[in-house]
This record gives sequence, C-alpha cells and structure tokens, in this order.
Amino acid sequence: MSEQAVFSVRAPISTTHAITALQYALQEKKRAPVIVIEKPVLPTGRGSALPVVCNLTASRRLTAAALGIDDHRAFARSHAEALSAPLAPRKVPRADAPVQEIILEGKEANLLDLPALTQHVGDPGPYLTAAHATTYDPDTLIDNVAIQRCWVKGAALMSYFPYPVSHNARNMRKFWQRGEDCPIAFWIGHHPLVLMGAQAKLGYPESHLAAVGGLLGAPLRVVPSVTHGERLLVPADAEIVIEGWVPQDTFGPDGPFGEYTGTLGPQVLAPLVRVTCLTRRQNALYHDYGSGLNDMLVPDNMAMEAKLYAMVKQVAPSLNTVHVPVSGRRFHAYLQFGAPAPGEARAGLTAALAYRRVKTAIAVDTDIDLFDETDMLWALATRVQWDRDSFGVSGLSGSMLDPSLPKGARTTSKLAIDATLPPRRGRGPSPSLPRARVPARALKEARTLLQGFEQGGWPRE
Amino acid sequence: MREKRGNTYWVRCPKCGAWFHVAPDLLHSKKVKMQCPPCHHEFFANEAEDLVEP
Repeated sequence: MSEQAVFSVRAPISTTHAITALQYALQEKKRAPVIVIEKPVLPTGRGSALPVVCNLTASRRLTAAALGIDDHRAFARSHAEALSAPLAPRKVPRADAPVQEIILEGKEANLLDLPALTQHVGDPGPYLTAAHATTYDPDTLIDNVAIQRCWVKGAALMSYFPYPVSHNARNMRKFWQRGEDCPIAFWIGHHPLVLMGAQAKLGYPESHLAAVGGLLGAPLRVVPSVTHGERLLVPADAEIVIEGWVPQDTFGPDGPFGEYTGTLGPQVLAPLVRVTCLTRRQNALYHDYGSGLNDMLVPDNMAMEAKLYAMVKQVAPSLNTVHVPVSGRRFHAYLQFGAPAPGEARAGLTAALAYRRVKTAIAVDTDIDLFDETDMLWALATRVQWDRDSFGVSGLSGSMLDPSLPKGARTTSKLAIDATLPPRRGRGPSPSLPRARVPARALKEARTLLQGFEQGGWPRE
Repeated sequence: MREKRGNTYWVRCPKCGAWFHVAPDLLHSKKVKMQCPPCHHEFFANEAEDLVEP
C-alpha cells in the first residue's frame, strides 16, 4: 500500500459522529484512502488507548489489490474459483496467537474502553460495526461468521442483531431449543483477504473459516477462545476478540441504526450478549466499517459478485463478469455477456434474480463498461424496449431492509432488463446500429494533447 | 394503480419528546421496552407521548 493510500489523523477526534463525517467528506470528493485515527476521543472525553482504522475497503481497486488481484473487474471469477476450494483452519497454541497477547476477564473486560463509533444522527450510542460474530452449529460443530452490528450498552453488555434468517440466528435458536445459552465470539480487525473470505456467501452449515483458507491459499491460523475453548475457534491474528454468551430468549431494544441501504433502520428487538472476556494484541487497532458507506458496501458487494458469478455461469456460460455497484446498495446486479446465445442472457438474468438481495438485474454486452454508470444508462437508453426486454417477477425472497417494501411484506418484486444487442446472424456484425466513435489513434493523440494542461479552472460537466 | 403507503411506525418519547422509529414486534412487545435513542428512557407503547402508524 502506498503512503498516499493512508490518511493519518494525529489530532484528537471524537468517536461520536466526527470520524464518520470524515468518511462522508472524503466520499463527496470521490477519494477513498484508508483512515487512521491515532487519538480517538471517547464519549467520556477520555482518549482511547487504541487507534481507529476505517475506510479500509472503501476503494474497490485497493481492496482488489489487497487480495492480490491486479484488475478489480476480474474479481468475480477469481474469487468464485478460490472459494470453491476451501481449506480447513490450522489451530495454533495460545503463545503463538497475537490476539491473545492481552487477556482481560471479569471487570477488566470493559467494552466502554473500545473506541466504538456513534456514526449517524439517530443512532442511540456506540456500535461495533466490524465485529465478526462467530458461532457454531451444535449439530455439526461447523463455524459460521458474519458481520452483525452490536450496540455497546455497558461494560459487559451489548445487543447484537443477527438477521432472523441468518445462519448465526439459526445456530443461536438451536442452542436455545436445547435449553442452552449460545456461545459466541466477535473478532475485529484482520487482513482484507480474511475479511473478504469471512463474508463469503455460503450454504448452511459451511465453514467461513475454511472459506478464508481457500482465499488465502493456506489454512487460516486460529486459536481456541478463552471462554469456549476448542468449541469456538477465533482467528489468531485478529486485532481484538470479544467473547461471551447469548442468553436464552433474552432481548433488548437495538437501533435505530444506519443500514447498508443508506437509511436509518428502525429500533428492533435484538438478542443481548453478556461479555465474559476481551482479548487483543498489545498494539491493537480498532477497525470500524462506516455503515452504508463505501468501505462497508465494497467488500460485501464484491463477495456478492463472486456468488452471483457462480450462480449465473451455470445457466449462462457466456457470462463474462458481474458488478454489484455501490450506487444500488446491494439491490442491483450488472451482468456482462460475451455474445450470448438466443435466450441465454435472460436465463442468466433469471438466475441472478434468485439471489435474495438482488432486486434489479441488467444484462449488457462486452462493449459496455459495467463499472461506468453512464455507459450502463446509455445501454438502457439505446438497447431496451421495455415491453420486449424487461420482465418482472413478484413474490421472491428479498431483503427485508428494503425501505420501499409495503407494510407487512415478506417477499419482494424484482425486475430483469435485457440490454444486450440482438444476437448476430452468421459471421457479420449484430443487426443493429453501430456505436458512434472516433478512431482509437485519434483518441490517444487527443489524450496526449491534454496532458500538461491545467484543467482545474475549466467548467465542470 | 395501487396507492403508495408508508411502512414505518414512529413513537414520541414521553420523557424528552424525541421522535424515533420502531419495528412492529418491538412496538407491540409486552416484555421488552423501547428505548429512546437520545435520552435512553425506556417505555412501552401505551406510555408513548404520541404514535404514528403507517
């Protein structure tokens, strides 16, 4: 990572709103450096012992580079291939686990010492936003990992909101049905490759820690948690781990909270977590995701792209790549096809709509830049007759966080748009109007001509 | 044409008067109280200063 990719703030800065505001201000400027807050100030006015790192994955290019992928556009295929070969994690002794350099138990394990941020107007207090909630299926002992928000309510108490259909919620209910509290650990901070692998979209029960190994190309180093021992393993190289229990049928209010949709979700009923232990590196960094901001959307959307690629490729082999743009939050999927056979693009669109979060899927050809919204809108404007090229499907599973859902809805309506050109007939060009363009050489010369000119004072578009 | 209607319940805190929005299961819960985001006062729906239903 170049030095320019990191923006370090040395002045004291509040964990309430100020750090998130900095992310918004950078996003306005379309800039995405990693932010390091060296001296975060807690709500009590006291300085935190731990620096905050945020905006870690706000740049798609930087995130792909951290994963060893030169071209972020190729991410969907390479990520899908890596996830198809999971590797079981490797257990290491406590002495080899940096995350257990400091072990705080009982009254020493104080959540209020963490520089958790209060991000948005209307949030009721500080939230852990990059806490990877880790549980296991009591039947198979297979782990599950997901980022799920936690409202820090006290020194050893927080609410935790697993989406009701999530695999963590399923594990929790299984323990409760056995009359047991659910063991849980939350780990914070790791290499982006591990963060991405942990967010892999898997079936149930499938190990996220093994999926991470597939991405790493080597087993993930894990260590038994202090509270739960061998039953619940945590990444040995994480920055911070919070351990505890989710007591049976114990709920509290949680939220309102800024969601990935860019709206403030309502206050909900959420399970509570009783914290037993906090472990961390000696010089731990506290990682925060800006909820609904690019640093949260980019990695999860990229993980969605890999899953969509695997789903669509099975029915549409001409699929080239997939983009889940942050402009559409997690509701839009762009699919690019290379000379699809008649009906193939629509088969691919239908497969994409089966993905729960996808609400609108759009198919285009390889001459359209999936990562350029202007180009996508041009394709819609010039290649679509709505009654012929779009189709809607109602009653599909969807995200219940969609702010447009009618009251009480349990399913959603979806739209597919085929913005590909008509198929070629024989060896000639597509039987449609060609795109206006200038010769490549002339364009190259024009770009050269512009080099060295001061463009700052020229009118914006 | 189907009419567009809202989908969000809003309540007003009886202590500080702040409005905030709540999911129906929490609003109707007899066991768990809502908690005002600014002042952290806890209350049931029948104690709310005001309530807006979609």
